[in-house]
Amino acid sequence: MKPWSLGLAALLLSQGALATSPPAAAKSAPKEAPATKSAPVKLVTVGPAVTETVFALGMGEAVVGVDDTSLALPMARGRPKVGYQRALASEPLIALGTTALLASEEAGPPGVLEQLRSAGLDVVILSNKPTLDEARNRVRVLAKKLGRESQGEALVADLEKQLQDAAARVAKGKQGKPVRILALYARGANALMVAGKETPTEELIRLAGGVNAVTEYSGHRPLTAEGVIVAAPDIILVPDGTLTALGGEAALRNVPGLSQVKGWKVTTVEDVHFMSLGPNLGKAVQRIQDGMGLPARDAK
Amino acid sequence: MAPAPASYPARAPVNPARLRPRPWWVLGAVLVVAALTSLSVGSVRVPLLGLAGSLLGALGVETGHRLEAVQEAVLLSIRLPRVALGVMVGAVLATCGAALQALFRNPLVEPGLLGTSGGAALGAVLAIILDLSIDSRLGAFRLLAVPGMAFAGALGATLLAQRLGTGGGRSETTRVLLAGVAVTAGAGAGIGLLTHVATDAQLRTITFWTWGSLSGASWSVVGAAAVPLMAALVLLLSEARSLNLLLLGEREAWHLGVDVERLKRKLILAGALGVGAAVSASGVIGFVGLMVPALLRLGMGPDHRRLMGASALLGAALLVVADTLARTAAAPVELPVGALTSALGVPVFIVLLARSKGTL
Repeated sequence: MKPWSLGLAALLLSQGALATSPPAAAKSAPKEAPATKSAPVKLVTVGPAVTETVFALGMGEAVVGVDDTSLALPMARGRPKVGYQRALASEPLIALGTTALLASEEAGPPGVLEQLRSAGLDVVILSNKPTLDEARNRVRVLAKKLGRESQGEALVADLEKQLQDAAARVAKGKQGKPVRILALYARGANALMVAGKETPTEELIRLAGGVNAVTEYSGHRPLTAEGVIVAAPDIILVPDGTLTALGGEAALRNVPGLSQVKGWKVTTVEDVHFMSLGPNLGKAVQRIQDGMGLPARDAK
Repeated sequence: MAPAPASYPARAPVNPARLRPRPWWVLGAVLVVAALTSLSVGSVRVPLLGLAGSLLGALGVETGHRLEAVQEAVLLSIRLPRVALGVMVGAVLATCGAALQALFRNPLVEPGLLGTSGGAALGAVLAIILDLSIDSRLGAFRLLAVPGMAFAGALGATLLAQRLGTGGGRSETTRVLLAGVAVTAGAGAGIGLLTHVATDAQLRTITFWTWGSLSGASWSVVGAAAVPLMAALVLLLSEARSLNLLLLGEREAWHLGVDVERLKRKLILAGALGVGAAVSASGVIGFVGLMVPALLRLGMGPDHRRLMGASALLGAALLVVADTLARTAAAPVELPVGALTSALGVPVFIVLLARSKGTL
């Protein structure tokens, strides 16, 4: 009997010890009326494009939690974390007092989303297809959801203007040979991944008037030395974070494969642009064009 | 009242009379406490009194003690299905372990060692990589693609291990175990290769499968898994008496009227059904099948008429406790419960190995 009774005691004791509630939100939520239309909106945003859009719409105050990928955004740092987007846990999310989960389609696992819906949360899943149309659409859907249509339209208008500028620069800088751009980012140490077709970076390169040097596959694949030689890039496009992690441009030039191909330049964009097409994709396009050496729109 | 077998000389003699009538009550109480603990602990506090009231309320009995709406939603749509799945999966894994250990007359056999879990995981991973679950041509089979492939993999791997381990019409333990190790290694290699052609989304799903987690438990998952899990449990528990006879040796059991080959087939099929269903609902959760029967055998002797049922109860309790830890230990991140059970299981395995001097 003894071991059993010990086990029982331990289990009963664990009642107190295990009941760790991270923020006080869980404890303060009760004693009020359950969430209604008038209750404050509390958002958890998943995916950098969604998070950035919500902040750009002026709803940053309502964000009570973000996923790990959103931490690439300076404005989202310091918000409570809800973990990796594909491995969300339902209870901690509810404990934040969340009323709505606004998430990119990577969010999961599916069972957890189902649990959140049945717990009464508004779960909104947005496409993350890396196309300009979807980027516009995402801004509009989120704006409608948050009751900020006019801000949404203003964002879209800004984006259109930036892209018109970009198109004008492309038209001005038309030369014979298209600029070949190889986009890569570091997924952990010594694991450089190359962006192929149907990636956010490919869309940015297209809008900037360049050519993605990799067309053999869709999505991201590990960098191979032979792949670089075949790609014959004029520009290597990397996220700021990757260049810092590698230790600067000199280190990049020593990466096997990149070291065997000469004559390329480095251009960087903010990390988030490699993950999804956010509301500020126009700025990334401009940076790529600067790197390509395209003349400014109003240059003579 | 049988004395302890001679192969465990190091153990202090247990007075069987002290244990005989109690295990059901004790194990039942442990399971109930574990389940209630799991229901009340987590990021969202659910006080016990309100918990009882809400549970009764869900059954149509009003007590006046109900939880807040949010707490009740967490309880009824997140924690309750999770505990239900944990109870079923834990019970099936432990009972499978007990049955297989009797079948091979070896206390160190468990579904993970026989290749059953590895095969199930390989099947599931194949289904994920081939995107069978979103292939519209499959129609209604889509929902069953991953669990179905997990079951097929479990069955295929187990049969392969058994076939390889059967020499001259008799399955020899060492050979079966070696075959199981080989099959598991093969499945692991297959998964390793497949992960390199997987997309990011598939990779994450694969991680879930190879380490096990109850986090995806919803009522639909529980409903789908309940039928095969319960069927496997009933099939295994129904053969408790034959397992006792099998412990005497296959020939002796045959002389006592046990159709040994049929029994073997039935157990292996039921085991593959149970483990396949468990893996398809919650991924590979290791060592429950090894640890639970081994611990109980030390405590209450090898009579399978009691050991099988007790294994089911303790396996259920153990997995519920492990899952509670998985949810709360590193909140807001969830740990994979399979990693926790394995971490608990490895020391137990080593102790058992050290104790079993001479014959196993």
